Amino acid sequence: MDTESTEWTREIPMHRRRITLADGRYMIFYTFGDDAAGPDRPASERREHGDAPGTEEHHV
Amino acid sequence: MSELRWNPLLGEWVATATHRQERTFLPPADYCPLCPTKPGGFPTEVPESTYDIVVFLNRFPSLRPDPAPPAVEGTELFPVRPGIGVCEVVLYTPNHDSSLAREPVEQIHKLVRVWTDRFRELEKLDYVDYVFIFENKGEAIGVTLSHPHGQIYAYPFIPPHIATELKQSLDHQAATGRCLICDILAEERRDGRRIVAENESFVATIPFYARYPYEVHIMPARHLQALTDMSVNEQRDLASIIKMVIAAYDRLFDISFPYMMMMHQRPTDGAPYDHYHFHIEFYPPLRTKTKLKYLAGSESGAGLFINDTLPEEKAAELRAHVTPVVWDERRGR
Ligand SMILES: [Zn+2]
Ligand SMILES: [Zn+2]
Ligand SMILES: [Zn+2]
Repeated sequence: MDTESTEWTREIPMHRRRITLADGRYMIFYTFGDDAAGPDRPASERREHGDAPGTEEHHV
Repeated sequence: MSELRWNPLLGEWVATATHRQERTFLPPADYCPLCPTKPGGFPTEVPESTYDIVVFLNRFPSLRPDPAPPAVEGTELFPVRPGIGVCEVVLYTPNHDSSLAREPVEQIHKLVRVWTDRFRELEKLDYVDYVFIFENKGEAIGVTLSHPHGQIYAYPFIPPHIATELKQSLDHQAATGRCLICDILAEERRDGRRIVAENESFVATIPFYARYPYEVHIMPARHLQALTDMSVNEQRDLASIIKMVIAAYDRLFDISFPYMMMMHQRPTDGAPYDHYHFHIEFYPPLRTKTKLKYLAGSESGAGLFINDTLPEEKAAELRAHVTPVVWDERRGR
């Protein structure tokens, strides 16, 4: 699972976690916090990258 | 199925989207598809037990990244094209009974950051010429899901309303050398009667030319074109002024106030739009606590809006319900 995070100047970091639903649609969970994994990251491993448009980037 | 049909009379596209209902079993009566999935409970759209803010592709989209060919063949007079685009749903909070107005300003600030991220991602798609962020709120405008959420449509063309604003802005700049909305803002400030709320970076006003009784426009004081142009402070001030406006809406009649909220930003087709100026428009359908403003013959059929109220009076009414926004540094910094 890849979670990306980048810090805004003076803001708490925002994290994105992208999953692919059973029918192929993407879903992105946004979390906020200093913990790089994000506060509500689930234990279950989910594969990222579906048929999502665009590419992942690193300034979030 | 989604396709775009050309209306040669108005010179604009109409999206035709039909959906097959594929639900095979009935959910419980209190089921909300936008709530987190409770452990052992009926599965919702979100397959996790909690979330903060979630964005996902709409299950029943009007536009989709991989549209099927149109159901009919076009002609020279009636062109048709696949309904390519993106329709996203944005869940503001896992709290079903909340609303954007009731959420703390820190949550609205998170949402501003998510919107900015969505704009940045969607504008990269080569088939997207316009990213439209909006919210339809309340049964009064036909929203059946009360769970706090908004939407994002990424269009393969610049929609007509925006195209008109762009043309007016360009004409104004050609004639005066100045930005139209910068001038509107200066005039609203000079007059002052229609200003509803203000902070360091934004002004909220029921504009001189409001079509709805409680139509509010939020405009940044600085000349900028999109969410992605905003500084860290402007993002925070945007969250604050949105909170001020929609919390005042709720206090106005002491109800969860219905509205359409629309973000007007520069197109994403790669052309320069320095003459345009970001703003947010709110169209609330209520005239009074119980009376709706209908888009009837004159509005729908002729395009002339009849506003039977004075923006100067409605602004004073709404302004009386604006209270300062207090940030809780422990919650969202
Ligand atoms: Zn819900
Ligand atoms: Zn301007
Ligand atoms: Zn506008």
